[in-house]
Amino acid sequence: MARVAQERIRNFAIISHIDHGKSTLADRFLEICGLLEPGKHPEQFLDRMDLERERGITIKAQAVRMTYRAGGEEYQLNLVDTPGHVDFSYEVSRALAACEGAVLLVDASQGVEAQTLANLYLALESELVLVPAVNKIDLPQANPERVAEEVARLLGVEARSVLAISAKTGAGVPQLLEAVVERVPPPSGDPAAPPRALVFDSTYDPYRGVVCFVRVVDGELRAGDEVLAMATGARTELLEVGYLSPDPVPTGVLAAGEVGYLITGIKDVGLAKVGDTLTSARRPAARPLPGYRDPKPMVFAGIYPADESDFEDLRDALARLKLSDASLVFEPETSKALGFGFRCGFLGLLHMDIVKERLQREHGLSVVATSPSVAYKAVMKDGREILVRNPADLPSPGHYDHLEEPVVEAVLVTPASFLGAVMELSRERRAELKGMEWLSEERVELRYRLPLAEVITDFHDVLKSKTRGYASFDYEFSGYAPADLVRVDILVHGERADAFSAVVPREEAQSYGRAMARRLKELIPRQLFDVAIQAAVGSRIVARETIPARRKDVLAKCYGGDVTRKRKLLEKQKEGKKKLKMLGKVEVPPEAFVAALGLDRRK
Amino acid sequence: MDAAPPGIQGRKPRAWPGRCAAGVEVPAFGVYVHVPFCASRCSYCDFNTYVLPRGTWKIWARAVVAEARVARELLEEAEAGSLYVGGGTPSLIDPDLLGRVLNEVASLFSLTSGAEVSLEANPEDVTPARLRAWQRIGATRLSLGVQSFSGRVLSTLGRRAGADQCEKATLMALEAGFQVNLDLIYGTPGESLEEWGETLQRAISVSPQHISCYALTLEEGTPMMREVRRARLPAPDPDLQAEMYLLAVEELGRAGYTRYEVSNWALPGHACRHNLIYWTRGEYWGLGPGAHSFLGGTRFWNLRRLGPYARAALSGRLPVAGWEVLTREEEWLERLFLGLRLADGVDDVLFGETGWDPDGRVREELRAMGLLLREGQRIRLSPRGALLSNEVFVRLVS
Repeated sequence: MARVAQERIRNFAIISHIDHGKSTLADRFLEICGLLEPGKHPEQFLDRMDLERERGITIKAQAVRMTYRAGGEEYQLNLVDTPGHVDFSYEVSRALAACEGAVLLVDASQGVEAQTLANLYLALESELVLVPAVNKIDLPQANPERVAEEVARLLGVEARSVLAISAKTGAGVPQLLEAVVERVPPPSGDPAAPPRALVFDSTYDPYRGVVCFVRVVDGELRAGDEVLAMATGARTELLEVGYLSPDPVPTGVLAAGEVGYLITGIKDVGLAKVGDTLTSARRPAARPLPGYRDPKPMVFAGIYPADESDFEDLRDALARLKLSDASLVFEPETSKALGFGFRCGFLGLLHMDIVKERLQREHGLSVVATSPSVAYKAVMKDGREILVRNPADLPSPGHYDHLEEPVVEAVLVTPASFLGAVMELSRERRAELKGMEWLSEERVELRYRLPLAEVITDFHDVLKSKTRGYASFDYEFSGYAPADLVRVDILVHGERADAFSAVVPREEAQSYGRAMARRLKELIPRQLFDVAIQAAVGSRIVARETIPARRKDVLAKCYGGDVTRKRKLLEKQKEGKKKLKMLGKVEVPPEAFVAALGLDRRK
Repeated sequence: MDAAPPGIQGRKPRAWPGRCAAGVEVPAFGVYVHVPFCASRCSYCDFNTYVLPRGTWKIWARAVVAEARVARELLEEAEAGSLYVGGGTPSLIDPDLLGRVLNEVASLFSLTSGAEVSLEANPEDVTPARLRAWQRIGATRLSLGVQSFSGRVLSTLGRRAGADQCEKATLMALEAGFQVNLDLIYGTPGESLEEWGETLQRAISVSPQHISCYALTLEEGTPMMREVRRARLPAPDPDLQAEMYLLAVEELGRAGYTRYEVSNWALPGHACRHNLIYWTRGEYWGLGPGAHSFLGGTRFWNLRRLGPYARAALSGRLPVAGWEVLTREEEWLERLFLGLRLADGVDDVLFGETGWDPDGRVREELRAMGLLLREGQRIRLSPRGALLSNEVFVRLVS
């Protein structure tokens, strides 16, 4: 492909709610531009990772270059794919920052949803030009006029500027692509300035090292250049420079306005993080591009090997995962109940699931995870701030002035008929209503500020069940806020079982304590003595259950001299005893731990 | 299996010298004969029994005698100090047929004169004529499968005899001069503590020399297990069973019965010698389908189904399905758990020999918890310890 002047480059993304047809639309674009042959490729071609295709979401951003011909002109289109999950909203914002425009894609029967809105707000922050379209107009339940109305109202445009398409059949897709070329402005960087390239994704390839996906804003980058990552200070030579189409095409150079990939000699994605600016090491830019943020894990959980002897393997596996996942953090921790493991930080619950699954799938490890929690901030009497990633580590109440917890700004879209149920749920979850807008006569957008801890329990599931699946929800981290929280400890026969400590709102301490004590009573087998299960806030007991002593454990009759069977049963019982974990004097089978850790705070 | 299990060929098991346990002389060698037939299967039973037409009894009889002959060819000498005929339901089959078998076995294994000869019998099979017949063929002791004196419990268990029939059978057997044992079961689904108390009282009132009490255990594959799984029957409650056991300890003790083993009580001098062989690790040969034997440090067991068993025995081979030569650790484990079942308990010497609980801390802990009793060098289970004996064993050897 010949070099194309900046005015004939279009960098754009597709933003939509999950399942509104983004990946199918990308397939059609690729077909129109001749990169794929219709009917001869797997569906949703750009979702490459197995995990992505199974879960129907895009985890890592990708960028594919297409050549588009119109009016005798050749255009270079760069379609930047964005992650589709709230855990990766920072990555979404960086991918959008690499673009000048975006297709806003809305399902013609579902209408605007929370994720549409959340991504729309991110796009507006990056001052993107939006090309709205309603999709799935071929479906019998589609209502393109109503949804186009909704979208138009949202963007403050006229309804007829909203295109109607079916990504599945291809109807209207050429017109949409034409609109992208017409409406999205070309890039406008300075080709002569020192180079600045925005990293909007990076992956680790065990054979080639770190691969960065970048948007060159100013200047140009060439293979062989030595570049500097301005946030981390890492330097590396560019081993290869090119673009995806959709397979890698090495070109040796990426010029201002272009999107492509760089293969670096770096062995750790932590040195070329999403949002960083790459510049020339010899002729560095004066200042980086705006918007860089260190990846900040929001959700924490203990990850322990199911078999204690796998500890070293788990450490190696986490270290290897981190090479391709800069947002994963981990440090060793010890639990009285679970042994040696790691406290891991994740971007969110999906990220945590993905890491657990990759440990299992790619490293063959079976792990036990404690209930996820957020990181609390203890503001001490002397003003120091301590970040507490494990509830069991929270200092005692006398030592801190107050506690703070992470909060999120959430967008929630619901049919008006479920407004009451949504408002009630929000009150229960300590959500503060910040704004409300009618998207249409039937649908409402609500904006809330609520504790992240509420979100990572079961907020989404309950919301779905209370609204029969019609409401949608998305959120973004927005800092810390003071909260009236207490730590509830679980004492088993007088010993604190650290894995079950939880930080909860003061008024919920008792109900949490009761639920956990009841659960443990069911799960811990009877011992030779009565075992008290207590829930305590500080030294105050808020709930108590007793597991009565076991009274009978004896083999039946030694029938007809069959001593062998009996001996084998005892040998088996002896083997089983070795696997028991000790909570002080109380023996607990490992399965009981796993089951108890699955307790939701509200069940 | 063609070759005999190791350690058997050329052995000379003898009845004497035996050892003294539970106040009786226990022979060093005894013979067990398994009669695998029942008129019907009881709902809780997972023993090796089957309901087969009478014609098969003769096949069984010929096969048992054939097995006894093969056994005797292997053993250089043999002298049994006890004979125990268990089942199944030995009382079901024709006493003459049974007599011919016992006669052969007694002579092949040189049964000592005055030996204990036990026969398991169901109350519904006990008649004056049968009692006379069993005496004629040499039985000295009858173990009656009474199980309960509550009609409701008997019907849940799927037993054929009613409570009155059970009582009458016991009285007749005693009258005829048999040593009598009553087998009782406690903790049947639906049975209350009071009902169990009444069963105990009625058992005491007929004055047998020996009483066994076993907790009902749900076994895989039994009709009762299926009923419990489908929630048509409540599962046995282990706490209630514990209460029932302690009630038996109290009531039978008060009535003059000594608890000489976890589940067995006898009037002084009436402990079952044959069963004591098992618990004291004496030697025994088990004849019949599925029967277990222990000789020369080897445990072996027969084919369970009548057909394969009989084919092997009748063609002059040992009808053995499997065997194991005990390792030293296995032998220690047996000495501990079998020894602790007996009221005599075990000696501290065993711990010195095995290296278990080297500093005596576990024994002391269990004693402090009231599960073990200590008298000098001997330790034994308290009644509460007996109820938790599995846990006690495992702790002692871990």
